[in-house]
Amino acid sequence: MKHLKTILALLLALMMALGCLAGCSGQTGEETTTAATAPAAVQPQETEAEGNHHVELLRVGLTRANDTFNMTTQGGAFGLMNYNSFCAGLFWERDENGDVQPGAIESFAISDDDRTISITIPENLYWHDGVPVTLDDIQFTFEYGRDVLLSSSLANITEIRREGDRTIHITFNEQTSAFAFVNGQTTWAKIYPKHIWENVEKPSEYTGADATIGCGPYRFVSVDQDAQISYYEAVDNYWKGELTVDKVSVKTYASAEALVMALKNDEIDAIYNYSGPIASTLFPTIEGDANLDLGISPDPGNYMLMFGYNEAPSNDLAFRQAVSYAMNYDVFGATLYGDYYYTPTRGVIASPNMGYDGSLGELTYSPEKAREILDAAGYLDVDGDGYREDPQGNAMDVLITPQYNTSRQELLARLAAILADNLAKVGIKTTLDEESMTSREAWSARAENGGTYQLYLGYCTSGIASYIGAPMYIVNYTETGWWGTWQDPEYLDAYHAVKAVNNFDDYKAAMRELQRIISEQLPAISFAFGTSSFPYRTDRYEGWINYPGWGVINNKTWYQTVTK
Amino acid sequence: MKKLLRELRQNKTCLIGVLILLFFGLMAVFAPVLAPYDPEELLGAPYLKPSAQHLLGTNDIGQDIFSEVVYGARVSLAVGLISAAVVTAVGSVIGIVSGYYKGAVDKVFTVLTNLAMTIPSLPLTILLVGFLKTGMLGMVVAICITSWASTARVVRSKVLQIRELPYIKIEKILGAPDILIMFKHILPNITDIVLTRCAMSVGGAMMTESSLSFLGLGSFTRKSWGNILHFAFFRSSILNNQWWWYLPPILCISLCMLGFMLITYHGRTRSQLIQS
Repeated sequence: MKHLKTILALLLALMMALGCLAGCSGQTGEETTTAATAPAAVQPQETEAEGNHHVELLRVGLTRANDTFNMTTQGGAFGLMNYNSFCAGLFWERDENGDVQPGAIESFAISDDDRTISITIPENLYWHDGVPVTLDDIQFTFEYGRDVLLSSSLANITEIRREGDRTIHITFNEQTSAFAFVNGQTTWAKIYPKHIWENVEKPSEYTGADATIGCGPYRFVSVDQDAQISYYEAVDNYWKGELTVDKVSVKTYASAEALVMALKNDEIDAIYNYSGPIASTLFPTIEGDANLDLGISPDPGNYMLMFGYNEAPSNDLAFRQAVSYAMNYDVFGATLYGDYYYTPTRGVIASPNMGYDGSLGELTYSPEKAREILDAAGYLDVDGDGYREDPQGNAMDVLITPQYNTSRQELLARLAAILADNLAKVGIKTTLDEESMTSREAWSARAENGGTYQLYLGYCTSGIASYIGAPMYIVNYTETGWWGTWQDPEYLDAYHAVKAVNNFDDYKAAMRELQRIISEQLPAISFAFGTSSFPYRTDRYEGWINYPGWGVINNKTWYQTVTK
Repeated sequence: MKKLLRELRQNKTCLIGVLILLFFGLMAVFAPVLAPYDPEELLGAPYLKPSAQHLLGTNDIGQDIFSEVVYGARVSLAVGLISAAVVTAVGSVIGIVSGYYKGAVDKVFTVLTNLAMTIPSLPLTILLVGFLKTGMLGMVVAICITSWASTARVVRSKVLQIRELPYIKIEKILGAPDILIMFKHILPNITDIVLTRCAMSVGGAMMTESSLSFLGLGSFTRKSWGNILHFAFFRSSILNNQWWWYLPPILCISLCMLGFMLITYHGRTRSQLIQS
């Protein structure tokens, strides 16, 4: 028995030793590979032998997991990177000025009647498996999107007509403006390879090795799930021009803090996160480091307070006006953007966006004015408890419902705390809707399926802000599918007018009209306008172009970034 | 009372523990008097360093951190005390019933206790908090569900010894009701153990509350030490070296834990002395 114990102990020790050896080996877990090899070195090097300034390996850091590799979804780091015309060939992309440009297509045109989009594809565009991209793929993409992916924006297609081998015309019925469609789909609409997806019935669940194949400038090479890093390499002789970045690695970090530390420690070259700039509280960590740039740019997106029109007192204009005066925009601005904020104007749309109307005037902080308005409207403290009752004399406890979002939870909680303090100072009692804040189901019941909130804290991402943006969230949810509650006929007409325009001049005029109505009726108020920060290293590479609200990882990075 | 004071004078370790807890207890009770400001009120400039005006500076939205810490004692101690009371009551009842009756009843409770002890408590608490209603009540319920087992086990083993003592056997022969024997004759003899377990449970529950609040699973509206730490961490106070924000709640939690630990050690020593 004693010997048996000794033998068992020795066997256990041996197994543990073998386990340690296995742990120390080069194998790092599950690896999916569609090409020969993954990059061996993590540290970037110049390809000096070729005498050019190519970046051998650009290291991108983000917080979205390296877990989904499927061209038809926007999930995971892969989906996020594809917003930058990365592996995916996008129909349309935006440049640094926010203008729509052809993506993986040669050109596009919109008919005068705003019903038809004509798309011309380049001659030498290939899928990553070498198969040429043809009009079959383009037609398949629209039909697959409409019939299988069930995209509502494609439901109004009436005709798909080819002209020769390279041009195709997509015609919509009168319910869809071609101009609005192109602007609304820019950054998201990808071209799908027919030979891969035509037999896939449940595209979002497809995990085949060819699910990553696109016609963008980079092809997927491999992923190390344990290390949360994926590798990509440039497509040879890409039709759109010389790619100056040869390989790209995309590594996931647990938090923005970890990302910033990784950047400081030279583990990554740049931070990317769709509509997720780093918090202003991290600026001091970066400022003063000669090798880092904060990557500051005007933020087209913004955080905003929306009023629920299905509930009192938020459906009362006097109450909304009082709230607008009660809010201390400096505190909101400093909390959201540090020193890089400015007071918002009354139209909700942030200044970097097309159609912004600065003439509407800034929102003003004046608790005295707020008290005056509330007094005049009959919101008085009848029982002397320090809080006002509604005009009928009933106790009033206004609910603050922040949007459900795990990554923005802390910031939204802070905005709610400031708002509660500001409103308490003018005699409005509030309660935080913690349940909606921490439970998607509760939030959905409150905001999406009924709109029974009173004060709603939300935000407009920079991507959405680029076209219609914040005003879209205000419209009653039956129109948009979002969580707005406003059904004002004048606003609805103005909203529909924006969606019906077919050129940018008309778009700007229609957006100004929307802002005018918002400034008068105050269905929503911006907390602050400010800047966004996507930091990057400056010691090794140059040619970075910082897209407003987007950062230096964008659709031009692949052609412009070179070694110093 | 005199006996208790004499005992405290003789045992300096326990005295320190009691003084620590007395300090935090008074802090919680007299929070409105001790705190110079309303902890929810925005007072002006954010990130102010400690000064005479703001003893522990201000946080990211200009709230007074000292006032937050003082009021935080209320939530942290309340969660700890309420949870511990429930955990101790439930654990003691299960332990007494299980140990007294033995047989099938004991087997059922032992299986339940073993099962509860094999499941890691913090992950289970996190899971339960996710399902239960947000706020202090949900947290207390979750802590109670996951923390009763060790008390039940300790009490059971002690009751198994006591039930074999002659005076209990005589009670049984005389036909005294079980409930009377269990709660009038056995319970007073395990008071030391029960109180020691209770002190341990308070510390444990406070630690769990702080952990959950730090992870963002606590209440966003009630200031607790874990909640203060949560915002300090997520608003980058550690990276920005704002020690006056993150250090005070850590110290308070640690000191409170120390207080309960010192009392627990005294209780254990006392139980061992009685046994020997």
